[in-house]
Amino acid sequence: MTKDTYINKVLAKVLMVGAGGIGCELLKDLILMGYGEIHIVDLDTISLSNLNRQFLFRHRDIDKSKSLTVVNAVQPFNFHGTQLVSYHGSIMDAKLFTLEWFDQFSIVFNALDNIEARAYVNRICLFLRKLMMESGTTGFNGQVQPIFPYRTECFDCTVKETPKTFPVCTIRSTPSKPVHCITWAKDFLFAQLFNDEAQELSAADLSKESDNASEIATLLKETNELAELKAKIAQSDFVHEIVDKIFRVDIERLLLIDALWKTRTKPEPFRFEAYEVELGQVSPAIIDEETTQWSVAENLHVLMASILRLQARINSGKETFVSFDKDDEDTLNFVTAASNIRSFIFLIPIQTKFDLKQIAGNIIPAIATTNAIIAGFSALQSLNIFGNDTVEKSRMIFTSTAANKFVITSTLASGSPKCPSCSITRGIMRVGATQELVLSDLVGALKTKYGYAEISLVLGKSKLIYDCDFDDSLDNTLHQLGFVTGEVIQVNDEDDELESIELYIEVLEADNAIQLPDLVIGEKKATPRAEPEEEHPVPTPELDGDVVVIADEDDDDDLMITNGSSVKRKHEEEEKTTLETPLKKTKLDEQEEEVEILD
Amino acid sequence: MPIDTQKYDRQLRLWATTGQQSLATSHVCLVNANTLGCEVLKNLVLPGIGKFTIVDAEKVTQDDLSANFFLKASSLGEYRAEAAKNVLLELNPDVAGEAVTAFRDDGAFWKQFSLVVVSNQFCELGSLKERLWKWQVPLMVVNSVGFYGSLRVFAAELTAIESHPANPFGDLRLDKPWPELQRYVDAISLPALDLVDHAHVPYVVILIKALKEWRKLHAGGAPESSQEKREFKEGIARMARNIHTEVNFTEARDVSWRACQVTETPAGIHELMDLSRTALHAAPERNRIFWVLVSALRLFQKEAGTLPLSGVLPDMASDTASYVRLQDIYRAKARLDRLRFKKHVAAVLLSLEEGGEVSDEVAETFCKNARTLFVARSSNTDDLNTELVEILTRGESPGAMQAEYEDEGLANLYVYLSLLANTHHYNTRASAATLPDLYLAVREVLGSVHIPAKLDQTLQEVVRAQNREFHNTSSLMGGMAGQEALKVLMAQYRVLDNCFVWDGIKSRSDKWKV
Repeated sequence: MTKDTYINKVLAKVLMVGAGGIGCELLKDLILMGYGEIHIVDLDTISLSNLNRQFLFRHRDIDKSKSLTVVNAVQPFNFHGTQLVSYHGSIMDAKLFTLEWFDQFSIVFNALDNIEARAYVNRICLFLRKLMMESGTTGFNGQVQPIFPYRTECFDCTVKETPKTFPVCTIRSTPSKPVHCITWAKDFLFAQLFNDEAQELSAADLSKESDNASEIATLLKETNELAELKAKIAQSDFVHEIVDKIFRVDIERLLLIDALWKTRTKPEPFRFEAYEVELGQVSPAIIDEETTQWSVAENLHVLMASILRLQARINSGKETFVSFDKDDEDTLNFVTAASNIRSFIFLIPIQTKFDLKQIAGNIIPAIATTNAIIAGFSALQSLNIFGNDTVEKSRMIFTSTAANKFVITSTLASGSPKCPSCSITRGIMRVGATQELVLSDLVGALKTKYGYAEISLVLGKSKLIYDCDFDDSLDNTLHQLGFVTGEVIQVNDEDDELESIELYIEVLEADNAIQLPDLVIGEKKATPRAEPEEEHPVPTPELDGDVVVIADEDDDDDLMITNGSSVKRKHEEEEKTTLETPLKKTKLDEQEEEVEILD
Repeated sequence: MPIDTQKYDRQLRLWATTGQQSLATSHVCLVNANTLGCEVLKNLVLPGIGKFTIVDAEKVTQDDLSANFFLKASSLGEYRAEAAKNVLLELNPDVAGEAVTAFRDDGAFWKQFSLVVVSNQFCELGSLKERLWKWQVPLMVVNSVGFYGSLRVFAAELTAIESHPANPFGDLRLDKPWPELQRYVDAISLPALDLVDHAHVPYVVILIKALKEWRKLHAGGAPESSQEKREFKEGIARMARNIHTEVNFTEARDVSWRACQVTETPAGIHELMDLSRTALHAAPERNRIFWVLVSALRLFQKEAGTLPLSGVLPDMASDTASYVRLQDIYRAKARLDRLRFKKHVAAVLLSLEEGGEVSDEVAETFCKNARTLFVARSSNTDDLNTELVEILTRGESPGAMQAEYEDEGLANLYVYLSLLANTHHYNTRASAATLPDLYLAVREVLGSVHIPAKLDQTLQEVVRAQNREFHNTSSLMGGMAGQEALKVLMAQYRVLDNCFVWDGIKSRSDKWKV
């Protein structure tokens, strides 16, 4: 390290987003590297399953804020006197974390667990042209990607897997995979019975999904009856009524709709009486057997036991509703058992509680070692930016257990011309808060500054506020139109000659003018893709089986690169198949294979 | 002690309770509680090894504090082993720890460990290495010097049944269906099926039928050339009534390569089975059951002509009844194979005059993984093998000197050599090396091989570091060493075989078998 590098580093103020698996390791590394000031943001609290890798947390810290706890935990080791500032909140909160606030840092380290926040920070860094060190792990696999805005590939240049959704009818009437039953048990049944915020589907919503009028009527009736049942939660025969309704009455009613069963195997309505004797012999200890497959009677036992517990919790008055949480045993037991009995009815394989938890909770495996390695790479790569040839020296790094891979480093690719984020030129526009500024002022300023002949303006995601056929708002003030700090406006050339630009709006109280950034605007290239295309397979982890598809909104894990296009394609096809030929049979418990050729 | 499934949930999803049990009963020895050593141990204490012992005679200095996160400022002057042990124990109450502040050379002490990790320089490394080799205790030597890092595994033999291959092989036997499977396939007459049933015939059935037809027309041969494979694929599309709507046929066409795969015993597994004749009697105690199983596998293979069937049927388009029927056929065969395999295991144990048998779980796991068993056998020397000497001399060839691009493999090898020279120097002289010292040491390491001129740069870098640890390199190498240590302790995954080097200046790495 040269002396200059050292001095720059000591003076540097850096931001670390996420204080979980990678974050704990990274914070340690950054402190011992002697960074001058580190700001830490995390919205999460500590849970027991973090402790196998997040070494700054102890059992006594459970339920405390991660960002505040890490700062206290590192103080005894803060040998170089690094200034530490922590925030408990969402990095996507534009009021709390303004653009100006982001601008104080020389590097942004992403140690996040979800795609949404990563993409958000990526866009902020594009606006500010700030270096972002992106990182993630899944089990033994991990990656680090330094992102130099507009010079190298950004986070959005490769298509990321998004969480999967299933057609309502597959979930409610014709499940064919364990995951369908899990989704039904968790998002429909559990939510309807125990959670206040359950969404009610209207006939109009359902008709978008199904052409079958009798199916729609049946589903609506089901939901209404469930609502009536929910009102009876204080009554003692609540349990039996639920079991009878959801596993017998509802199934019998579905069977009446012939159209559903022309090409499908019919489900068998559940008869409680058939299991009464066996039920009496089930050992209550079964509820803790996480890795054995429960019999029908055992599932029934767990279902009834968990309903009683949930019923008691609500009737005690301490909780008015319960939300599904994979770490809340009562809710997990309920969802496991309900899902399995439904699977049994529809001749779908039954899941163990352990496997089901992974699917229902969107759990991503995580270990200390991979996080240590990836954080180490991330911290080390940050040194490159203080010298010369920063982009040339920086490397993208992957680790993997694959025999021929282990650690792979590669030079940074340049941005994709089709990237929805970095193929657009961006800048920051500052406007005064004054009531005198109207839209026509802005339109004029934009044309003069950037040389557009005619423009259209889109505020936020999709609000068109001006184009040549829609000039009604020209006399409205910017304030009236919704110009607030944190909002984004897109400027498009109506003649399709110049590139579009995107401007981040910052409203300045004291000002009364419009300040536009200096931007170099080129000729219009290929249109940025409207929908994700499949290209650039991310050289990633070998992911086994279906579990991955329901990507990541886990609260405490660290990655998600997820998968290359080959995986995605496969699953998309699979879903299509399910819709068209619903007899499709899927095994989840034997997650085998499909040899992926990742190129 | 029962496993805390909540705390370890995220890792149990990788290595299951069997892996966790192995961890929980392991005892790891760390020599040197420097930054690197503490990082390694931290990565093993968190996932829950049973016990660790730190061997270190040094006391905590100001220098230690500036780069080590597991020594508190208040520990200045205390024994490093003691101070580090206390902080590391805080990380996980399930783990026991011990500090030893004087070097021990008795066998009883070293033989208690499942693994010994030596972190950076250690005077007694040479003799310890020899003794651990003799006692069959695996050793990892990990180094962190400035921006350079290296990791070397010394173990006569490491094995893994569950090697967790990235692309698991689908054991479908499409080219060699056993009688029950063939009978099931033959009983299905595609032309006789109605529209719905035809569109739900599993691809296993379609491919077995297609291959049988192909063989009739090709003198019993399977599709081999890419031209033939293409024709075979097109033939499957023609079997469909409508390839655009019959998803099962689309799927069969897309995985037609499966039918072209020859079911045979991988060459590596043949080697292991041959090896088992001697290994059964000579293997380290920890691997004995592995070789009993491989010996039984050899007997099974000799009798059946194939390996046991894995019995796993992948997801495929089908109606439920056909899928379940097919799955039953695969499972039944796998169960039969397993029973037969267990008989061979019993026979092997009997031949060892022990008797007994293995559990169903062990037999099942072994049969499922029989195609991907992993064995790494390493040497206990640092001598460069012919492959490495070749890389080295490649750099000395006249063409290479003018090469426009740097030879990365060669440059990485220079880093390895420089670290090796540093270790050699320290282990014999117990002092930080000067540049001439390192040249002397390189001479020893390379023997008669010419010392490359370009080595000078990396040697200078090592001298500059003065055996000081840069925390970041140590943290990274601690992660690497921890990862490989977990694999050794659990006997799962493919462990590094046997040498890794990291160049933090150029952000590059390499691995070789030395």
